[in-house]
Amino acid sequence: MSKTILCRCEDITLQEVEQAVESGFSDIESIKRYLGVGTGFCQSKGCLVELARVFIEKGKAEPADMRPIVSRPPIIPISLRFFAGHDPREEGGQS
Amino acid sequence: MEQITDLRIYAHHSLNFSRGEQVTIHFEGKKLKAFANETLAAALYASGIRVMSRSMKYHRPRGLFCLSGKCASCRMRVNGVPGVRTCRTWCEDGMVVLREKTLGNASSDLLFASDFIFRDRLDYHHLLPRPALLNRLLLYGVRHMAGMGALPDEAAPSPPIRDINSDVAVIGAGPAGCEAALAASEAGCSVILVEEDRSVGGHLGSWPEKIREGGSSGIELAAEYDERLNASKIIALKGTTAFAYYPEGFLALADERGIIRLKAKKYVLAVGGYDRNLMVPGNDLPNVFSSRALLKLVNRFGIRPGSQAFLVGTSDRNLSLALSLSEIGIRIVGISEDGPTVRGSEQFADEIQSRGIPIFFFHKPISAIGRSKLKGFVIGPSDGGRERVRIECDVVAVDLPSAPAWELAAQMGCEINFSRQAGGFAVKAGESGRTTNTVVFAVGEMLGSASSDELMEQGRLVGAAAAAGLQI
Amino acid sequence: MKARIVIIGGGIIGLSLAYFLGKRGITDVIVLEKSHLNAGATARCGGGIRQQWTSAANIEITKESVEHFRKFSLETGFNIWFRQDGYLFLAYDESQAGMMVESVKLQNGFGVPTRLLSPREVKRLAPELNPSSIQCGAYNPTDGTIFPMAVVWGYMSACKAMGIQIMPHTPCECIDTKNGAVYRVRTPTETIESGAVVNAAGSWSPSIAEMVGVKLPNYPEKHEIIVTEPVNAFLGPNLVPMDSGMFVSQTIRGEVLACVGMVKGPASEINATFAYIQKISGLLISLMPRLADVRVLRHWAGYYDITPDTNPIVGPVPGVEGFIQHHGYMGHGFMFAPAVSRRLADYIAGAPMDSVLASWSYDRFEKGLLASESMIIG
Repeated sequence: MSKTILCRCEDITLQEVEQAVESGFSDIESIKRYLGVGTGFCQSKGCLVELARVFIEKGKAEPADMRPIVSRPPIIPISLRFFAGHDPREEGGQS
Repeated sequence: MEQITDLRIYAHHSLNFSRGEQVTIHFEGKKLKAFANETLAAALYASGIRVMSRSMKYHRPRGLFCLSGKCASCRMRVNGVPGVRTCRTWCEDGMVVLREKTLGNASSDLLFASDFIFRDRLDYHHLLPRPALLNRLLLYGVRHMAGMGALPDEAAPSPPIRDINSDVAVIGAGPAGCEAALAASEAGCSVILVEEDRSVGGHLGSWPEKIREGGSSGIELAAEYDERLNASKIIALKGTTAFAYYPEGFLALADERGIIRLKAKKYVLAVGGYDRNLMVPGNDLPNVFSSRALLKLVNRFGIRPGSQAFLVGTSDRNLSLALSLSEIGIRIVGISEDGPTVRGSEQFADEIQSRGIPIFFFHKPISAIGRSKLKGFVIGPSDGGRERVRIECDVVAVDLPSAPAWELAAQMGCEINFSRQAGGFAVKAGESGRTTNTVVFAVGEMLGSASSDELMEQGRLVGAAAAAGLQI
Repeated sequence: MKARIVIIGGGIIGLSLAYFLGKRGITDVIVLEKSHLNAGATARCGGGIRQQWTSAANIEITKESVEHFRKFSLETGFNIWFRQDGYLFLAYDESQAGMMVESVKLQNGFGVPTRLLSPREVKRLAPELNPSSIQCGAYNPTDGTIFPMAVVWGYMSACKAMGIQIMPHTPCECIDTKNGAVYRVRTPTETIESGAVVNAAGSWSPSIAEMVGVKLPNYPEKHEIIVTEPVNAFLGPNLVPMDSGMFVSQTIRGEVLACVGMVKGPASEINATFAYIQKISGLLISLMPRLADVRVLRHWAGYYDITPDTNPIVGPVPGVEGFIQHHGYMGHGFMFAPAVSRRLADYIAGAPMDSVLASWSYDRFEKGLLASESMIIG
């Protein structure tokens, strides 16, 4: 069991992230796109802080300069049918 | 398939587990005993199931880790719907549950071979780009191995969207959130309190020891909050998750009946943090838990997790966990501590010592051992020395400062910064929890770890601040 | 610094051009990207690659691009997961069916093997489809889906290997001209002398053109898109129901990806809205009812770079020598990029302008607009 799992959802290891940071990816958004970290079911809840820590520990970023990934809705997966339900506001503009 | 058993504690000398009505769950062809006040995850774990799912690339066995719907390790096909978070799903009689996407049974998935074949990593970008035929085979193979499960069995109907408004909306019913809601309500505001779990009080509900203030235990305090909320005019939406803030100007919530659009004049976010895991080899093995999760499993659901436990860190939480585990006959093989002294309070530290639980000072975690089952844990000197202590254990609990929840605040336009003190990316909050969005307040562990007393105090302050200017 | 050619924009358009220039032996090229790679439209798109168009030029271009993508992984050693399982357009009424019949003929004329399908054949190809009201389908098995970001990384590594410089986090602040010709580009930290500047900045192209006093008619239009949790592979072809113009695809990872146009006109923000997700969810469920309990995982938006006649703007601008346009791709730049870039690279290297590209010239807006493409989707 030699793998250290950093991103549980996408099975990305600590070593992969460290290598990517060392090879020049300069920010979290780029690594997220290249490795897929933070794009799985939990949408970075389990891995964002660890990602940031690798940058900081490798001296590639100052904590004050770090930005999180862009947060998009929904923050947990929501069934399509929930969004497709009848909308009372669409009739007569009740609010 | 694992041996079915029943690891529930039926006679605890101080805790009552109100499990509710007994029900039957159909799990992969077997009938399992379960209870209405258990989540599916707890019921499966109590029955001896340890492998909840298999990981995406390497098909590594995954067990429960956070028990709060965040780590995505407990997802299974429930009543014909794939990817259901079993730790957020309550047992109902006749539920049909199974694990998907394995070659062979989930407990002995043949595709686990990819964990061996790709010892270090599987780099999809450069895997077999040539020759063309192999690349095409790879495409075919990857496509058919991908996905968490088959399409849902049925075409379920779409439930209507509901709308709800209030003066103040509080998201999260931990101690900070409950206090904020009560304070705002006492100040004369209409209040809606949103909580993902079925009960209020957050992690207090798994804390059997006395909290300093008032002398009640965490569990008693949680029950008190429930009573006080019921007696108030606060509308408490339990089993409801806030999942987005849309630019149309509302917070979107979801419960099992669908979506609720929540519009408030002021919002108080008390959404806490996400459990973090150690970054060591083997960290994703089943039975490596976050301490909060293990406390819940043991003290709220009354389930015995193993026979020999090792804890990483001497925080109050871990010391309390050690005591809770000892209560039910689990041997605490040891607790490791980075530094020279116990971090938790004296009261706990003395109790631990008197039970002869070994503490390994100046030791840090090195790795978890096991192929599919946790067999042991290795620690080493904090100063980086090469000596290793190998500890035989079948449960490990990790207590790291949680990663603050920040996403809703970000979607609401609040400034987010990386804060060492808060333990990660956190919403910037000033006096009385004010964020850079004047209608949004933040309180509680989403701003950094704090004691229960501090959380309650903060909650009162922020609730009052949110209510200021709104009451009649 | 000096470079023979400066390309402004490191998306699929700019990078594919750099690649083809390199292949032609022109490696003294600098690509300026204002953000990190894969920040703009390229990474936000649905990854669909089709040859089913209603204009001859579009069919010819995309057919060439498809050939290029087929060999991409072999040539660059980078996987782009180009899955050719087709696009299936669905007609729900007479007029849609009529347009379909015409365009299929046109496509066949170019050797694109689109064929008309009966409702029964449609259902066989996409079993999850709700078959009601479908009159007929148009299916081209050589269309498909790709992983857009991988193409960018593939081009990037191929360009770097050829010695082409790619500079992310480097915005173009100023383009200087002298006697009606460009001669210098300025970034916050560098000055680059160059006599040829390519404007491949997608939605930001108009602001780049303004730097040399050129007015472009393009504007950015917001398009939202959602992706679900990954499910087992169930959908072969990409689907385009013509009544809504929605685009639905299943990615290599199993996610169902869907987009449909909603708000027309110039936009200045790309936030994900509730109104959109209501619309797309309803459309998806009525198209494939068993998707009801599949969950939305992510929802984002990007810009379509819109031109008045739906055709791109490619080539030189009269009055500003050395300032070359390569934008206006209306949300389908990805599948146009390789073919247009190859031909544009040839032109930059000294060959006469290709006739398709010549029809997409900047000066057509004075001379007279072209016929619009009818099958704009997503």
